[in-house]
Amino acid sequence: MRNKLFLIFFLMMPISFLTFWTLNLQSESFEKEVQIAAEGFDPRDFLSGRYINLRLNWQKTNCAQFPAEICPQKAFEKTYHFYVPEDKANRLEKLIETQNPSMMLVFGYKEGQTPRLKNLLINNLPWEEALTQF
Amino acid sequence: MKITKKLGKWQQKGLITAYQSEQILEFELKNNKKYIFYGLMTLAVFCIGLGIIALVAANWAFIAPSAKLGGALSLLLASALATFETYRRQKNVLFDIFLIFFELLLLASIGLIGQIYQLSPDSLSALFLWSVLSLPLCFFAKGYILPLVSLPVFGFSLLDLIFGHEYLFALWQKASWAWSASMPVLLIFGAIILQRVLVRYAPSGGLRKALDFWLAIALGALIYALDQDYIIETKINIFELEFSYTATFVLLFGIATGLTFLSAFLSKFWKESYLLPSLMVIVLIGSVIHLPLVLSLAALVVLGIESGLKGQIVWFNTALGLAALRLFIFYVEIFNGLEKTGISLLVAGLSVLICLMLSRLVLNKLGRKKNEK
Repeated sequence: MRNKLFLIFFLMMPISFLTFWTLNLQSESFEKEVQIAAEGFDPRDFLSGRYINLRLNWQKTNCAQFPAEICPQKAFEKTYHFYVPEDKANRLEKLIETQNPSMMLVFGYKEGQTPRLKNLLINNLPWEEALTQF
Repeated sequence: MKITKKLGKWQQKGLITAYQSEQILEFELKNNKKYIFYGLMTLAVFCIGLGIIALVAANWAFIAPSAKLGGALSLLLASALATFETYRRQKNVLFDIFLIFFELLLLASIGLIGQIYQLSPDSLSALFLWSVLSLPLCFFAKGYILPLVSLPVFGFSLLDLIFGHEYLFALWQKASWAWSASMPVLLIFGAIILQRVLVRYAPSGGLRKALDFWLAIALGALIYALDQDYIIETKINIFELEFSYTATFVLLFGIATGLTFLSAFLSKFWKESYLLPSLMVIVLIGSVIHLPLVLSLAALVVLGIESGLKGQIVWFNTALGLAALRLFIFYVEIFNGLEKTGISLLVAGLSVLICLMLSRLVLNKLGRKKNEK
């Protein structure tokens, strides 16, 4: 009986964890969205699929978006993965390699909270729209 | 076959009659075939699980994120229920199969959440999360495919997490030769202590058997995993003598293996130990990794079936474990894209399952016809 209870606990633990984690991510709210310039390349993550690996470029970022016009670099990581569907990844890779476009990462930002990556802009357009024009 | 020798001895001593010996042998042969059937089914389910992970990783944009998440969590709940039900009914083999499927779905779900919410941690962090959530369930595993994969995943991802920590990494860099020279020995002895604890407290043998296996090949895997150029070029100074990294590892591996063998030989668990066959397949792992997929899988399946039929369950489990490892490596290589890899693995796993079911149906019908005659 004890083993069965342990088994139920250890089976439900990951499911509960994933459910709460998802709800937490879904319910995160941010004061505003900010755009940070980025540059990078495209490796592969065998667990989560294809992504663009981007480094933040604070030199080309407009710090007026942030309080006191100071870019909070420590609140952000140095690099971010932006996941894209596999069928579009190759075209996106070619677009970045051939046209060297300006890229901006859009984050949900709130002071004191970990910023959440939301979108990728290419030449000021959402990446999917930029891809249709390529 | 071991059982044949034992039956011969028991007959000689007058413990059983010739008729009883024949009956026992017939029963064991039937069990061996069941073992092979369920072993291959486990491999097929493992293959299907990897295929699902690859398809999830392909990130099909035409399915809404909420639908993907809802589907994943529902499937996870359903497989958890199936796992518990098979445990409750003491269907050990089916329990193992559903447990493997649950764990792989868990891994796929973690990857899916990372993908949908654009979370940036690398694969090893996600694998560490998965191994922490799944390791407790390995204590319940009867077979050892699941612990065989979970243990090294936990080990490597934990090491990555530790050495990714700035303070600990700085410490490692200061005492570089001491750390790298002692690390394999520490791993081996830590694993031996854990193995002794598991013998006493683990409710089933799967995790303990897997730990036995990895005790023996831990250093071999480290040598293969390390960058070859780095190994060849780096030198270590110990007491003013210069050793190459490779020589140091090989020397320590030899000492650790010798000590492990001695401890196992003196231990009353020697006969249940997987150390000897595990050591013997260290070179096989290397050749399996470098052989093309079809050849290596075919060789392992043939080895597995042959040893299964002869009742050499240790070799059967080893072959099956290596086949699962080779499939995982195939998945990691992402042959021709995630979608194609996923579909290939799914089709392969489903084909094996269908063939196994059909062959069982046919054999049962033939068996019934023979009884009727």
